[in-house]
Amino acid sequence: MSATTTKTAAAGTLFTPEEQAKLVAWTKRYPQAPMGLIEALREVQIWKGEVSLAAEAHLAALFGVTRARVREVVTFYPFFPHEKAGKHRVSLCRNLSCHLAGGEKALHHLEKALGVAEGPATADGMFSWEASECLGACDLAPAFAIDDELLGAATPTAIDAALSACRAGKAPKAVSTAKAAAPVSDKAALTKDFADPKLHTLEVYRRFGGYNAWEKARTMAPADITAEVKNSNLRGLGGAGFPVAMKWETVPPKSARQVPHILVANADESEPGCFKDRVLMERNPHALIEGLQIAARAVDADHVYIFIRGEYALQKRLLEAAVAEAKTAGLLDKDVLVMQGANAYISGCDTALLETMEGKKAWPRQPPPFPTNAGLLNWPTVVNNVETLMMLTRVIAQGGEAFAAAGVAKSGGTRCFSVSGHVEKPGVYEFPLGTPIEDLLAAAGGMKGGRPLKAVIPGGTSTPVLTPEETRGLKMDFDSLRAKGSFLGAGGVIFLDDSVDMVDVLHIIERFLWVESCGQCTPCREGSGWATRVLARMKAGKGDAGDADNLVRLSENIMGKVICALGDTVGMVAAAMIKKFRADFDRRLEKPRG
Amino acid sequence: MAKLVKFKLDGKDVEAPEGQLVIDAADKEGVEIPRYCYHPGLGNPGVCRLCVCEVAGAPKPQMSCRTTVKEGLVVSTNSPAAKRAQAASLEFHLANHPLDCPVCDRAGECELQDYYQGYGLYKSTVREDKRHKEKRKSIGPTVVLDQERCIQCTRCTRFLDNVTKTSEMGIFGRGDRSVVDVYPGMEVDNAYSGNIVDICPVGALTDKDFRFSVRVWYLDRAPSVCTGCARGCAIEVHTNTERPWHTEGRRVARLKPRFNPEVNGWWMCDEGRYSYKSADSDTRLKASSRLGQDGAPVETSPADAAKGIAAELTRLVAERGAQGLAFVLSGTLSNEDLFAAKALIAKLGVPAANVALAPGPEQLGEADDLLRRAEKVPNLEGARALGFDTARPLTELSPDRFWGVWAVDRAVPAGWDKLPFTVWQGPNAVRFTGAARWVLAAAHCFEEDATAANFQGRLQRLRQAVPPLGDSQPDWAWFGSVLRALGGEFPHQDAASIFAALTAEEPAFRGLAFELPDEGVLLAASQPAGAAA
Repeated sequence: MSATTTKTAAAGTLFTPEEQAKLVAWTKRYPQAPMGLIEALREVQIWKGEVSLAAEAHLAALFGVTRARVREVVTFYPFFPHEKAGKHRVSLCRNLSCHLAGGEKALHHLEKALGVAEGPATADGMFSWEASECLGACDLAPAFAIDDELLGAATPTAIDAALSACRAGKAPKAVSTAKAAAPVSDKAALTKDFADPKLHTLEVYRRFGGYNAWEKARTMAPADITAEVKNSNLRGLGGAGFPVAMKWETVPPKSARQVPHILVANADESEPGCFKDRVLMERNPHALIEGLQIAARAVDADHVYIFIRGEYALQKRLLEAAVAEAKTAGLLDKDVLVMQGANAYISGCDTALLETMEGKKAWPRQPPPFPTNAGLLNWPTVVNNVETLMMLTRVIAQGGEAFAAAGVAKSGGTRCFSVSGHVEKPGVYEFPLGTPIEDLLAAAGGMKGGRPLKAVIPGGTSTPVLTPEETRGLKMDFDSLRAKGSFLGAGGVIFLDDSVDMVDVLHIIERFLWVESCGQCTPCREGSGWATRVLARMKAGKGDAGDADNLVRLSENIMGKVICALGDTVGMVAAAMIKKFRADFDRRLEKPRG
Repeated sequence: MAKLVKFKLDGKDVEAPEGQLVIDAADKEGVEIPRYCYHPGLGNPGVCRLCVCEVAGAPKPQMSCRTTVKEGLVVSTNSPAAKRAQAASLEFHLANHPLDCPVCDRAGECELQDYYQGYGLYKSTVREDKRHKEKRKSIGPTVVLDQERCIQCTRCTRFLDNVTKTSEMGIFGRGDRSVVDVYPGMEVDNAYSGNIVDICPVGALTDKDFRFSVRVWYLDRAPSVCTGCARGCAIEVHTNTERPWHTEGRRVARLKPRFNPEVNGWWMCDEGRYSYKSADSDTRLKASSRLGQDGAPVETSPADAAKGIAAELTRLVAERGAQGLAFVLSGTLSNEDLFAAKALIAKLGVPAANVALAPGPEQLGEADDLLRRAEKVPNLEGARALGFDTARPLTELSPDRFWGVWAVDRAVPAGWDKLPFTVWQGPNAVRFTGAARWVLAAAHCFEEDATAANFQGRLQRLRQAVPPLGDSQPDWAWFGSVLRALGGEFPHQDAASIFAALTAEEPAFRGLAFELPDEGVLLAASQPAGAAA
């Protein structure tokens, strides 16, 4: 049967010739046309404020996919809102760290300043706003952005000033907002040169020894690079902590299967509490490009991509500039293409990321096969986190053994912790793996106002909460955290003081998971919303005696029965929170009537 | 074929091909594992998370649609842990389900209902309001969508993406806000739309033609074959005789495809699906008749009709010779019918060149590369195997050369109705029927036991779902009774007896038994012309 004939409006009535040329260019940028679909849709959204049905049909024909598939993409990713967006889109984060820093008040101020509810554009069409589920800027909490340009903390003055600037016709431009994380540890490897404000330029990067590791790796046999990485005990720093060399070794050699190999830097950092990749890419973009060259040689990659979340507009520009510089300087064996997502948290899960890259909605794949065997376009694909790839420069420079020595057994080297919540100086702090959590807290200036610690979320909001007792003397590495029933995750440490109510905290986390659940697996799709609604009711003081136990039961019913980690998280986080802070939940029971 | 390996299923030692899905191996062993998204014709996306089993050595529950059989595997589908996991998954499926079973057309054959009884039976703890989505949305000429009942198993979208490749529907949105829907401005109007109702495990997709007519538990089911085209899709005929008022007196309530890997897989086309109405339509002939002196039809009993026809034939053949009689037969006739027709033709001495059997223009239609065949008749290959020339069109015979014609289930062009002897025989009146001197009411294909061979030469069984309407009788009974009235031999009282004679006399049928296997058998002389995808 032939597909139903697509009736497309003539491009002329929908798009200008220049716009049409850009859309056509997206069909040619990648090995297969549909890989450019999402970025082309992003362009349409920016040009028109919406993706109309006519535009959907036009792009479906252009990219050779069905209209239903285009619509699935458009309705899946938050970059494409349900209503026509204003000329400028204001995003204000409502997730945990931003909430703790007064995010709710900032949202009220924004709503009042614009005079419209979330979603629809202002009468003059200038603005629309949305409460975002984490902008990756917990260090600037409560963070806000306009048109994906991160503008820092959303104080009333900052909001008013940014809106006025837009009204005056000045396009918002992200200022370099990353607070320079001073090297707090003499073992700092990635952040040691952060004091130099020009580190992102090739000249300065080279002055500090940049690309020396790559020049060394260029002379090494690919297997020797992998061996060095194996010696370094480098583990994936995106959350899973999987040994990097072990992942690489599962890529089938081209002698066994004659297809291109793909290497992807996962720069879709979206875990609430994590922002280190944002800071690292902003301050030190060349380290990522250098790491990618090393990894590409090791895994024999033919195509190298950086998949970056849509909200990191500044980082994307800096990376592209850095690629151009390095290319001109003849430093690249493999070209690096920066590809933008469309603001879905789940795209950060490696198999969902591949779906997004293929121009589909981000429904995680169910291994086997694993991506290293059949990933992007079914070709062997290695997906590594940004920080992991950057660390490769240190592994090669220092040698695997020396790198490993900085960490603890089975977790080599240092890592960059994102520290936020109730601390004096939120930011990125690099420490050797295995560093006691107290050192992290001290580096971040201690608890805000000296209030007592109530709880720690050790690796981003997807990791089970720890009590102060559990964190005493806790070593921050993969295995120590596992022993405590939690995870190091992507290293997003959120300190919570005694002012917080865990029902609120859990409600924020579950609401986030509910918003971001892709909807593929039933337990997560239905369970995340169910848990969120129960928690909202409890928050409103209408809990009943069975709620807490029921939430634990639902949690246990979801865990282990879904395709990706997000679903597991829905259950795991709730179960830990309720078990450890039961009193907070019991306090929210409905008062007996009478 | 993969090598057979031994594994343990619910404590039993079983064998299955290595690499087979556990869910398929279990089906073969008669062990039912609940499932929504898995469908053997649509793959195993593993999204419903219902077919949970316990695999020894695995750290967490496994999906039996994603686990493959290997030597020494130990699988439990009914251990306490597996059952708990299945019930837990079911609870999530039902968390936002409206539970409007009393007004749902799917009730009685709904897999949410069945599985709740079989695997759920928990006490509901849902206190929250359920999500509201669109109900009663027409998404095409045949199907109505209820988004609230949908459990997002993705079977319908996979069918439209991968089988018809028409992609009219998608899953739009994200998380529990997502809905299965038709693309704005499109309709699910492809030639196979009815299948999405069959594969929907719940009441989200219902059939406009059938919904709210009769509760499914009042239906009787007969396995049979669709006679809509030369594909001969295996079907079930669902009949409602207990409560005729529910289906406006129609006995046949609907057709459903029946799995036959050699012919139609799991599917059937809409043309075939909705063809059932001819069985109870106003055009059905319930009694036979002959034209009276005044040109008006006079109702005649089958016995009188047979005698009258035999008398006229005897006279005319004697006066003008058997070469003046034409037979216009049809590929809609079963092998049993054709066997009787062949005997009658031989008895009369009518030359083979006087028999036209190639499909007439009204018996030709659309074809595609999925199931539909251009020849809209079910048994051309059977006719060929019985020695009929299935290529000779009626247009090759000129009415000028003939004094009589016996037409079966065919529209006969003008010119033939002027002949002194005209018989029209069939279940439903067509053009020419009214002009014929003799009109013989024949049973409908759902009213008889029979065999037919499809375009591949695959012989399948049709089974009687309802008795012949009124005085109608199988075509073979008409040929046989006239043959007997002419003094010929025709000892058969039922189709089974004819089939036994067939297997004795016709080489292509040698050695076959009337109770054919579910997937049918290839006739001896036939070469497979390509099985269903």
